[in-house]
Amino acid sequence: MAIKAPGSRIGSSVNMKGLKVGGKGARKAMLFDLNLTPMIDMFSILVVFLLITFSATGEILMQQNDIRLPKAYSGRALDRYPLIGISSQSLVFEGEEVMKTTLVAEKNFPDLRLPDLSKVLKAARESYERARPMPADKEKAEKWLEESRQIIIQADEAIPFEVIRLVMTTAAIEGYSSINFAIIKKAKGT
Amino acid sequence: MSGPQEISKGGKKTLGVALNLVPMIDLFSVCITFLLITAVWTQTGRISVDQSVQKPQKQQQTEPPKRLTILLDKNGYWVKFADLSRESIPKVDGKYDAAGLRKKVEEMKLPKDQKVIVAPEDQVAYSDMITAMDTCMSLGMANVVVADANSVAGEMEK
Repeated sequence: MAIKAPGSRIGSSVNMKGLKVGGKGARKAMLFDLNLTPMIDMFSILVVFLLITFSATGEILMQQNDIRLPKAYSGRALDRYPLIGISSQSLVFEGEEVMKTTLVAEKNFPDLRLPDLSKVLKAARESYERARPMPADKEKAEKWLEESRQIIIQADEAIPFEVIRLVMTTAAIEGYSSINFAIIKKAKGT
Repeated sequence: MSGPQEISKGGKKTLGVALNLVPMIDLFSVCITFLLITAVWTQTGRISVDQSVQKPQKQQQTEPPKRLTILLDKNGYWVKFADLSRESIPKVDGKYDAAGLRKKVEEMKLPKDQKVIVAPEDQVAYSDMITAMDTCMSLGMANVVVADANSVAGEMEK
């Protein structure tokens, strides 16, 4: 029979007096085996699930806490465009508050134009045109024009249409005529 | 040592290999941490429209265009196509009947490029407008625009 080197043991310095195996007076050392199989199973399933649901585009827009987006079945992928957020409290553009939502009413703005929003939209457009001037090529210019008209409206589902209408009209006056309403995609059958 | 070891069983010699799982567990831990941090749990999308919000028009239109108009008021939907009479889809349990609207639009058998105008009244909630648009888009009609209820009031009264 071959002689083999002994494996690791809990050293004699560890007090195992409290653990008695084999009846009264027996003092056998206890070895604890940690079963890693369930942990590896769980890790494998988690990794597979997270890889399947992984999205390379990431989060396009940060959802505000006070905005509950409406749900819809048909929605295209969201791209990154200037963002107007409308909650029950405030109207924000690119994270900066522009005005209070309660003030947005046709009786206050009979010409259907919100001056504060108009000002920031105009500044954003000028900044965009400075950073990305319209290309000379006809095809690229058309694409540039189409992209420059895009805007995202991220509104709470309970906001009345009157507010949406005024925001849309103001955006259209400032050249943002392609409106994208942010929604949460619903799975078919739900 | 974790190298192969000879094991003798019933006169036959086999090689037993001890598999080191520590690197695999490390890799799994790092992968899971990274994927959990970068996970996107809510899928957001967009419904695109061309701006078509018009100011109220006092003149009545003489010839109604061939378009499908869906008016949302406090009582429910009003659906009108071209010069046909308008049809009402009242609310059910205080909520807009999206299933009824879908059924009505499906019965009309309209082409996919049919222009659809969704015209909510001012007090209608944004989510109800989105639901009406989504109902039409899920039936394949992508040419959906938003209009002011007052701008379509003239054609809806006929």
